[in-house]
Amino acid sequence: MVKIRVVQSGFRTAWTHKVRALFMILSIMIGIAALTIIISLGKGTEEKIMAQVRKFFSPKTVMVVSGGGRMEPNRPVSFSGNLKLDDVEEIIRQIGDITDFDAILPVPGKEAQANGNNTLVDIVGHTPAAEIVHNLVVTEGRFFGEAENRTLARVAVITPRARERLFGTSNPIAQTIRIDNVPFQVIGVIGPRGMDPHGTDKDNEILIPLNTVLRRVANVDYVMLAKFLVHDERRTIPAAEQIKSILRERHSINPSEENDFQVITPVRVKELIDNATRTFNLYLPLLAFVALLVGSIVVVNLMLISVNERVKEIGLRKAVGARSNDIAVQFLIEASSVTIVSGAAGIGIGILLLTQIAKYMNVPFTISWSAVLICSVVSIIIGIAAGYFPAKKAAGLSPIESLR
Amino acid sequence: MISISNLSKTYKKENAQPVFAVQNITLHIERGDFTAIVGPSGSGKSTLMNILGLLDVPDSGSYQFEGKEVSLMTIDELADIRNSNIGFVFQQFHLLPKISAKENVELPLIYSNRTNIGGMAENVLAQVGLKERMHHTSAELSGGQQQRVAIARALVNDPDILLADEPTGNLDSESGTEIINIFKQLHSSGKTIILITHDMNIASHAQKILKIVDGKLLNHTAVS
Ligand SMILES: Nc1ncnc2c1ncn2[C@@H]1O[C@H](COP(=O)(O)OP(=O)(O)O)[C@@H](O)[C@H]1O
Ligand SMILES: [Mg+2]
Repeated sequence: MVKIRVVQSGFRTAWTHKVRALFMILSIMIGIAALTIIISLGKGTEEKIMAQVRKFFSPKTVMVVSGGGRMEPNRPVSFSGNLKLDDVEEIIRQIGDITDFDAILPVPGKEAQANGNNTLVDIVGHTPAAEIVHNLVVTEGRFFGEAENRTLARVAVITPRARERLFGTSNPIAQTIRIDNVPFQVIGVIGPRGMDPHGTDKDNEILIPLNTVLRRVANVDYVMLAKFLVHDERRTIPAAEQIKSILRERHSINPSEENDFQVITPVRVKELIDNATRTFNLYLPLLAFVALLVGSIVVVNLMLISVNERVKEIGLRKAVGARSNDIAVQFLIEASSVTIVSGAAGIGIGILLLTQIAKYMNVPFTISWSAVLICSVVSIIIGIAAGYFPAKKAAGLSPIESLR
Repeated sequence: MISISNLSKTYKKENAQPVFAVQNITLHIERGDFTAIVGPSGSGKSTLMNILGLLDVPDSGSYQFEGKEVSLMTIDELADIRNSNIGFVFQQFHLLPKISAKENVELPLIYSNRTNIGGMAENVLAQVGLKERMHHTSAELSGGQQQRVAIARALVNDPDILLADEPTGNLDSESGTEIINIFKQLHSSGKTIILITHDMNIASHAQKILKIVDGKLLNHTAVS
């Protein structure tokens, strides 16, 4: 039975030894603050990355990339030229519920001339549906259409940096760009997209209808990759499996052979991101957790020292009628109330610092409430552990021996 | 109310002669008695008193408190009797230094089963004449005042019996007289009192004087 007055008294006596309480608070607070900051920052960073990725890769996307091996961030993509436009068309025919698709052929490092300026750009062939598939924002003019792709029209949609280098501040719409001396008419400008996960500057591209690029620029019949949008997120995995079997059959791949292509689903993208954010989400929290552990060892020791210093007090309390259980409860309450306050202070300071760090690191400010919950639970567990051992020791002392 | 027979306690330490601190003591204390225990230093008075106060246990012999054999009680039952049936006053006061006089007096109340404890500490502090100093810590009180706080603490749960181990031993004679007057007053209000002293002047206030020498009870001396 726990007497309510013993509990109340424990809450008071927790603060009668002020220096000890201060050290206990400091040693736990720092670990908790670090955990709160790191876990929340990890979540913020991940959200930032996810937001960027969603721009390139919506949850309804299935992507096929030409070439074997595994695609990892920051590894240059080399493709083998065996993903034919016919393959893409066959996939669309067989799967049936693909709402939009884009097949892409980049031709990097081409010289473009306009207005007396010339600069190196990346030419990229896209289907007209690219506007939808990649959520492109057309800021001026328009994107190219189906008819222009079919008729191999020499039209171009340009990006902010390419525009600035070729046209400065003048209006680019209806102007002509020469690429390998072939004239293209600018029909639109799209908004900035930044770097892609491979580090390619997407704002120095010139987008041209895919068929035009295949026949007039590169003179090939293959693409580097194709992105398909299915009508429902849940269809991405079955569609990916279907695409694999279609391509293996068309490419006559034996069961013992590896794919000569990769199929990437939102699940796989999430895996890649998790790998990239592992430092933030695993190692750093582990480090903070170790700090917290060290802090709690300090607390357990301070509590043990406190019990030794207070042997007389314990003896006196027992002499006036405290049961062993009452002494144990007192020390448990003392330790846990100090650690709960430390935990709350740590979370508070963590959130305070987080607002500043998030601003500085340009990461969205998010509090990971699961982190806060974990931290609270951890601090309560530390409190109970810190109280338990000294409390057991204190409770076992005989009254007269402690008073001597 | 207290009945002990053939009580003995020996302190044994490694590489040392055993000390026969209490040897075969038999005695009875009736409700309302005022008993003084006298004897030279080291004669075993404190050892006996600690056993009577349930702070220590004998090696052999029987101790019946209110007719119940103490050796058969659980440690929690002993704690409860110390809390509500016995008030113990120490020579060294044993006040907790960081808290006020009132909070010291309230300590036994923390562990009692009483539901309403409001005003009890103030009342006993008033009884020992210290109500206006109740918010002071022991460092801010004189020795006599500290011992009066300790007496208030022993009284706060209204026990039937008060045990005092040389309560005036650390005090000047004036403060000692004040303390003795408090005990006389408590006795006349019906409390059973056992008091250790080696001052015969103080012992003369008791109804009964027990002499202990070398752990043995010499003789009962009745005082009028
Ligand atoms: N904890 C102890 N360990 C060993 N010897 C003790 C202890 N307490 C008391 N003694 C010895 O027991 C004897 C009686 O002590 P005590 O009861 O304190 O006597 P008094 O109170 O009459 O001075 C003394 O010889 C003392 O040294
Ligand atoms: Mg003594």
